[in-house]
Amino acid sequence: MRATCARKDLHHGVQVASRAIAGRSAWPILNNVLIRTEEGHLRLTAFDLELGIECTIPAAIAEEGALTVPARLLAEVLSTLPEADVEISADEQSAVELKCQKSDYNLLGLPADEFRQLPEIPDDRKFTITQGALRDIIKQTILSVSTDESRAILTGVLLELKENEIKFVGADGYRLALRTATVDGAAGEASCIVPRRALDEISRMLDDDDSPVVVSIAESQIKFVVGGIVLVSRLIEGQFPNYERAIPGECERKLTMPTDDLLQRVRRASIVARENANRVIMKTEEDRMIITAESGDVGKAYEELEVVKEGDDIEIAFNSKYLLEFLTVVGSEGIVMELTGPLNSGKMAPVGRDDYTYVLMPMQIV
Amino acid sequence: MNTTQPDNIISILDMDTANKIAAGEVVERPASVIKELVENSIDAQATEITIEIADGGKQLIRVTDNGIGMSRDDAVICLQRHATSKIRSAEDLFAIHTLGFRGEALPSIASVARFAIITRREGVDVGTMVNCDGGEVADISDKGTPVGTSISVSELFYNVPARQKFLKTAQTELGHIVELLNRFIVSHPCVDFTLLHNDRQILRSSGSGKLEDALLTVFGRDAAEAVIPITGTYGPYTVRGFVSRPSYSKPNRAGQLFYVNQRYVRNRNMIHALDDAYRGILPQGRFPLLVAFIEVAPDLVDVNVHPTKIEVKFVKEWEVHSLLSTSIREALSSSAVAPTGDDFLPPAQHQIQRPEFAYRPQPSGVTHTSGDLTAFREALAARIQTSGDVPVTLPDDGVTNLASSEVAPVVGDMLRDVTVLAQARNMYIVAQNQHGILIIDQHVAHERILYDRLYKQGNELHVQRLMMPLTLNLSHREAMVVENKLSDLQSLGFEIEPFGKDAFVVRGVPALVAERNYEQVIRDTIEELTDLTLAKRLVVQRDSIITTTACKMAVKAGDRLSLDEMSRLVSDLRKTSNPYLCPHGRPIVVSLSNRELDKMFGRI
Repeated sequence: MRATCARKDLHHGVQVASRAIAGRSAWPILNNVLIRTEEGHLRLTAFDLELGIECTIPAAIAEEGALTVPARLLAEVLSTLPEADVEISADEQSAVELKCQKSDYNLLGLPADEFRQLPEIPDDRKFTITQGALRDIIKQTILSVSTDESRAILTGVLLELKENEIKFVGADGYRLALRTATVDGAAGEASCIVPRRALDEISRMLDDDDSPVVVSIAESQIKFVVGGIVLVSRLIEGQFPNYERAIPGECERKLTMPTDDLLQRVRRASIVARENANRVIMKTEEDRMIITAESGDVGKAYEELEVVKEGDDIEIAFNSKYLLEFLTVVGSEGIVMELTGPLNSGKMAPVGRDDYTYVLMPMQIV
Repeated sequence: MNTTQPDNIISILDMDTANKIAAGEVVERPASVIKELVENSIDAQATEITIEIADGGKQLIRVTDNGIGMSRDDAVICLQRHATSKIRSAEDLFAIHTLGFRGEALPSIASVARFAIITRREGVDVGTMVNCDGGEVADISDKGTPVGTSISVSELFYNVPARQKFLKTAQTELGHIVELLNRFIVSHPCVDFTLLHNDRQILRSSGSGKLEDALLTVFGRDAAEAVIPITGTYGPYTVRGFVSRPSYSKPNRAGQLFYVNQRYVRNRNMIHALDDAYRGILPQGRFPLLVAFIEVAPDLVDVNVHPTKIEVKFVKEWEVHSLLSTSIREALSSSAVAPTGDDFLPPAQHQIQRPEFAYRPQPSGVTHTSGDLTAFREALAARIQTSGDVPVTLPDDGVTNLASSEVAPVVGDMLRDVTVLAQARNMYIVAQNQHGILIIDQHVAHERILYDRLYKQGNELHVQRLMMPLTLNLSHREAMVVENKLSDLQSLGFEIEPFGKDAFVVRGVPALVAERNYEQVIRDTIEELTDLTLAKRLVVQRDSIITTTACKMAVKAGDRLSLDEMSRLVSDLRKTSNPYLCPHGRPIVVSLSNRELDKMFGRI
């Protein structure tokens, strides 16, 4: 094959696609990017069998065909070439040649037919959502995803599609984040677990605007189409725990407070709590909430905040890190906390919205 | 007679001495008596075997079966050495299908204890009772009894005080007995075994004939649910059994049972085959659970290597090796747990644990160092360069020397103003300060920090409650230990409570381990406490519970740490009571002083 394109386009394309190459695989073809000619452009694909990314760039095709070349190497060479047109070609022996002005590089590739194609994902179970909305949903649920590899099921977000509604659920052993949203163009029903890595990568590609993302779900893969980019990921197989059981029902005791006021105070108190397993104690007294933390090595913290309280007083301890992560992404001016008791989970939600719920287990006050 | 001829010093031993010598080989402790008796019961086609013991078997052992029983003559003759119903001639030795065959066991046992046989054969109206003291038949009488045999052995070693002294505590002997019966339960799932200790039921197998039920009894439900079957044939050898998926592992080999023709054996070759098949799948220091039954024509295996018959030799060791490792590998890959260079596989149940293409969540936040040696060398080179610019003159305060072959731990406050440079082999923290370069073993460092913290208790120890409580289905042994140590475990931050038979529910874990694999931490802690209680014959003191817990909670060699985590670890380490020695007594820090380094490069 032989094609000419702008250095900038090719470099950008290789960078986008090669996000799908996680580490250095012992299987060389998995470290390579596939470049294939199509009508008026080049299609770039990288795929490490977990995650695959495909994108296209404009190019003038002189001779049709396909080649593969180590993605990191190609990106590195491209990043330092002068801003001009680049001619990329490959011969029968998979030797790849890259020419740009007076530079001429021969890189060792591998035959294109060794490259693993991205799986085909049918379109019978799918939905469309805006980029901005998907970005928020991922941000608000991925915080609860477990990093403990021994609980593989919990290292991804549960995605449920039913009629025009989607649910995203992230949960580790200590907290749970549930987001719902209505979507357009929904077809079929689905329930699957999307690995964190796929969500991290798709988030990087999303803009904060109303342009669409099309999500299609197959038996064991999921596909996102954003602009001209296609991302395919393997799903985590298995049964997600019954999360609904972990969400406490309506509770008498409700505390409403401004998000930012609480965030500031918990963040300060956590400086002290850091040395003491991040534990902050929250205690209500009439219409105030008192936040304290202490550590033998550091000292004590005391914070006070006005709250609107329904129900009796309560004292409860939380891990400040888990609180802060929620407060940073909740994105509303106020939040409501429903607290059943010092040993029961607390339910938190943005004021005036019912599409986001965060459930957090307390720490014991000994 | 030979004593009268002083010139002849060689004499034929009398029968009693010969029996006592044989007893020395076969009968070491109550568990070995039970082994011989239970094997006899099994060979007598028993389907129910009850083992009653008192004081760990030191006072009384009684094994009662519903097998075919013995005639009166047999009951007497079986007490003679090399009396056996199982082989008739030397040729038969190479075609052994029964568990026992040497004809040594009963006379040997009888010679070192007070011994009684009560037995009746089917079709005979009256049973027989034979009493025997120290090998001498004391009386033979009629006795009404169900069909089968009941043998009691009391006051074991009453006439061999040297042996008696070597018996351990009742608890330890019981531990050995439980271990032994577990092996029988697995190899003979058709037999309903009951073990009573001081009239309390310790163990009961279902006798349902299903290996799955046997595994459940022996290893507990969690383990039984984590296994996949293995089968295979190679030449004259066949294997069947179960191996655990990589998601379930143990910190020792206690869960590995090998059988040849239904006889529990130990054979290095087979352990090696298992390790071979599992290479690269489990981290170092973790072992799979395995139950493997090898079937082979009796002439291709020699079980007569040792009186206890625990060691075996195969005619073709490598064939057994190859059979075992291939079958295990196949089992693992057919359930898609082993690394394969395969296609975009449809996700099988457990592929997420496949090491090669496994989905691995990237550690969020800072990812600085890695096992990447180039980066490490560069970083190190750069730092050494800068530190070279600073004029430091330090006394060579007897601090360790990497150049000398023996590396000793550092002394003095070497952990002042430490900058962490990198992590080497995901095991060691490489750091420097004005004295020179320090290398810190991350696991023992963390162990020391946790040990101090757990020891101090105070308000530093917090419990993070779990959203989904963790249920532990333990083996009976483990459950007994947990039951005993419940309050200690609770005071260390495990909110754990009994939850039915051999089960416990964990509602909260120490906040210190919340971000890590807490399930592994608690399981390993329980496992080690069980071993401590039963194997090392210790009444486990609180201190060793703390040491164990600290060890299991600590980061492991092989855990990747971020630069922040390492810096934190080093500063916490400095605050501990002894930053240079871990609670087990291993060194935590070694150093290479600037002076030594300069010397090595011929700068001074």
